[in-house]
Amino acid sequence: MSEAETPNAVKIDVRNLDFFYGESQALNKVSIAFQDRRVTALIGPSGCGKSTLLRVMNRICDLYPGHRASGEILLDGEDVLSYKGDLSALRARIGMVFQKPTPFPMSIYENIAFPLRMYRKLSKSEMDDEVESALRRAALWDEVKDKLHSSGLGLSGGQQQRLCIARAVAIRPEVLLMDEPCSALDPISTAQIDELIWELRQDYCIAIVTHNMQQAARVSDYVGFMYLGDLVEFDPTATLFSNPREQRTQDYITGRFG
Amino acid sequence: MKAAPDPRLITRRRLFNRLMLSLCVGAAALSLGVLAFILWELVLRGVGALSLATFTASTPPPGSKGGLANAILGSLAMTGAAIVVAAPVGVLTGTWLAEYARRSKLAAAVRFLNDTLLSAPSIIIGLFVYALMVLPMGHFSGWAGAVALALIAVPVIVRTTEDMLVLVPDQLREAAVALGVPYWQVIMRVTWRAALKGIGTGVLLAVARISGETAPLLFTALNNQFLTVDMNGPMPSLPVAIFQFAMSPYRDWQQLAWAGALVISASVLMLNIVARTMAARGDR
Repeated sequence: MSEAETPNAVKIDVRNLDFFYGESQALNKVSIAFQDRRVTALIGPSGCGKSTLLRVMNRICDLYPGHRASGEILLDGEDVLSYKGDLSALRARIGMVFQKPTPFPMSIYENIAFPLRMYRKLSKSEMDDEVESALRRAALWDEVKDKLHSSGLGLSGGQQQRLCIARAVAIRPEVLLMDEPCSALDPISTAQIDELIWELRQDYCIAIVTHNMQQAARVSDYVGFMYLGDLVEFDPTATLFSNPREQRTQDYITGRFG
Repeated sequence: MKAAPDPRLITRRRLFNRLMLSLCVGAAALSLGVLAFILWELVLRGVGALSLATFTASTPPPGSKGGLANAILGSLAMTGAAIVVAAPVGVLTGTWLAEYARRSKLAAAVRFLNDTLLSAPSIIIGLFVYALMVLPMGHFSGWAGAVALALIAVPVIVRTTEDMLVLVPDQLREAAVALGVPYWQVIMRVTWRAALKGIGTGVLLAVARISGETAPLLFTALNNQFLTVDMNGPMPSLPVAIFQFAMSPYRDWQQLAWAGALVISASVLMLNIVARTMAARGDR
């Protein structure tokens, strides 16, 4: 658990965000600020809008038909929602790790090199260095250094997820979004990922969605509790878990509902 | 407190299980048996009719020696030309349906038309190409045959391509998009690769399908007694040669029909084996 420190600069500032899938409203006037080099956890029962919030922040939601968003999402002061430039370049500034590991059907090396080539022209040896450093950051290097050119699909679930984190880190994003990154993993892999998140925190603004209270308590500086599309409570982690302001938060973290 | 299960219920369930199992086994045995019978007859009669001349000599007039070289070459040429056109068109259409159009109204319309084309009798395709190409050109041609075969192959490839791409989980696409990869690159590098063996199998199955088609060739490529690669003229093919020879009263023609039937079945079998080997390799 982390002590509440002086707040860092705000990296992503979400203001009055409404989001609809067709007619159904998934987010209701959500305002939340994600600080740079801090971990912010989002908790809440299934369907409360946590994952949607992440997907609006990097405009992945654009892939879904019939979506509608209003409000502001300021990434370093620049609105993501009304962004008119190249969306792919915008998304490259925001890395994302998904619930299920999603290695691409290619070698471990290519899993990292392929997205990297989209934005940076690197020589073979520079690329080798990038791949190695990304794998080292994700604490995967020692396990895969002898089989970089075998398929990423051959790794275990925990290794695949660390490969996805390496891949996300390799493009040097400014923000890392994690959508229940450990829900498909065993406790040992989860502990490894937790440790990793804590290290990555030194360089990134991290937002993590989790159903695991212990994980939220272990890795985050701030926690937002969401319920039915509302952000019910947002506080430093220690405060929210030991002394929640809202009854609904209290009920949720003590397991009385959700 | 635990209630003991009623033994009559268990006996009934077991009996029912046995009944269903024997029905399934029976159905499988029946269909496999028919297939085995056909293959057995084919091999028995075909092997006797096969000789080196089958692959080197052209189709003979009744009463003289000959082979099927021109028909084999014609089939290869027309099937090859058809698949070279049909594979890209089919794969790109299937990709559009699965990746871009999805639930749009236009996609639903295209899908419906494609399914209609898929189940259209092949003789109608042959008549269509006859009206479209043979009549205006004034003569039968290998090109017309290839177009007719391509029209049969396209809907097969569209369907399998779309089905295979839909099986690729959306999370994989989202993961690539989230890394800032443009969508066309996501398709080319991620989803196509994930569905590669399925799409490849679909193309090979389309080849197998059209290499056995007779009806669409009767009105388009017709037939020919000579070894030719001139796609502008009438062209012989294996299925048409088999059709012609099997219907004839001459014994040596009938023999050649058996040989041709064996050659075509063996090649389709080979194609299927290649497709499966490819699929198995892709798994690793």
